[in-house]
Amino acid sequence: MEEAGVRAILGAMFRPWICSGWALVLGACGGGDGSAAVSRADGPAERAGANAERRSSLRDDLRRALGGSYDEPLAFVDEHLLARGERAWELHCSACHGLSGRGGTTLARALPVEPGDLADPRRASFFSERAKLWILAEGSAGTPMTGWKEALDERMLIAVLAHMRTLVRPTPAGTEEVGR
Amino acid sequence: MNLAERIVLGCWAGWAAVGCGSETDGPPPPDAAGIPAAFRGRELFDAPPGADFTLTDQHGEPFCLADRRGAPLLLFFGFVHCPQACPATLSGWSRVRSLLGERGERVCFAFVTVDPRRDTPERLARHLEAFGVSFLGLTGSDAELEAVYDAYGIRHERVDVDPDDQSLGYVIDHTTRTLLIDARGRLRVEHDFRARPEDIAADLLRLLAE
Repeated sequence: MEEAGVRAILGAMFRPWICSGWALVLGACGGGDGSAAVSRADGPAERAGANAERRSSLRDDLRRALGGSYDEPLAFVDEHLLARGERAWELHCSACHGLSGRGGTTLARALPVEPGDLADPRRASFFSERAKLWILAEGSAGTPMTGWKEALDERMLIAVLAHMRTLVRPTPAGTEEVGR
Repeated sequence: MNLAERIVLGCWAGWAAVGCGSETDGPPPPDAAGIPAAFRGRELFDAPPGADFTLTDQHGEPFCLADRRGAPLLLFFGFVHCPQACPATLSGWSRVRSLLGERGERVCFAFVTVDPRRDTPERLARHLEAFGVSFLGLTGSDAELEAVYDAYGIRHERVDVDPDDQSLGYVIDHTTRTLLIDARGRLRVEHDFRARPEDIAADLLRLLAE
């Protein structure tokens, strides 16, 4: 696909959502999941439970805020843009999430809320693509995951998300996805 | 040299700048009150005054360093989108705050941005709340910030990830030391961003006991 074509599609699909949905989503999510931030002093079970609660709360907020667009697919990303997304991942994301997306880096283990395994197919399907794009742009309150909308433009955010899809391990046969 | 290597080199340069052999091999024994006998970071023996400044915190309120005298203060210069030293430092501070318990309530943790264009007060607020609800995020005009960087010897340099493609963004090479300022406003101790939280907490206990 021509570069201009990709730009047009992304612009059409993403920009209205950026402009109109941002304040709405922020209002819906502000503080909604921050209380679930977990202290390192808590045990693994408490941390896992609180983090799951935080993710569920965020997903509910995003479903309400994004409405019918929550499940809309994102734009197609060509190989060039996918490569840029991989580069951005290496430089900006991998210190915490690992090159493989599985986390477990030295830095990740030191964070107040440790990043989860983004390559886990069940986890990867927990949020819709649009919800994940919102989290990439705005961050996840109560966790060290900051928003990247000031640092990366909208095309690059979609490219990073496209790269993240390539990190997800195949779903084991006989297992069902959690749903979005 | 690729960018990832430059980032690592920058972090190590910062580490070397504060003296890679500055921290003791083993902590000296504490006294009966649990106060260590010596600082574990690099002590600044001439105890220069910490240059005063006024910046704006993440809530839009003015922050004047001179107004904070009477309790120790930690000072670090970084940026929210930093891939290494800044999240490591803030994570360490979380641990320090936890180790100090109630005694830590008097200590001020101040994070000064070296990236004011992207680190808006709102972004600072949302980012810092994950590490410590009482941590301060400070920003200001370019002129205000540059004066503070100069006063504390903070180096910072924007590095474009790809000069031919701005969409990949940029990172900032910067000095990575945590500065400890005592209750009288004197710059007393420096710690590298790889310092153990236990060592920073011990040094703060010493400053609190003075």
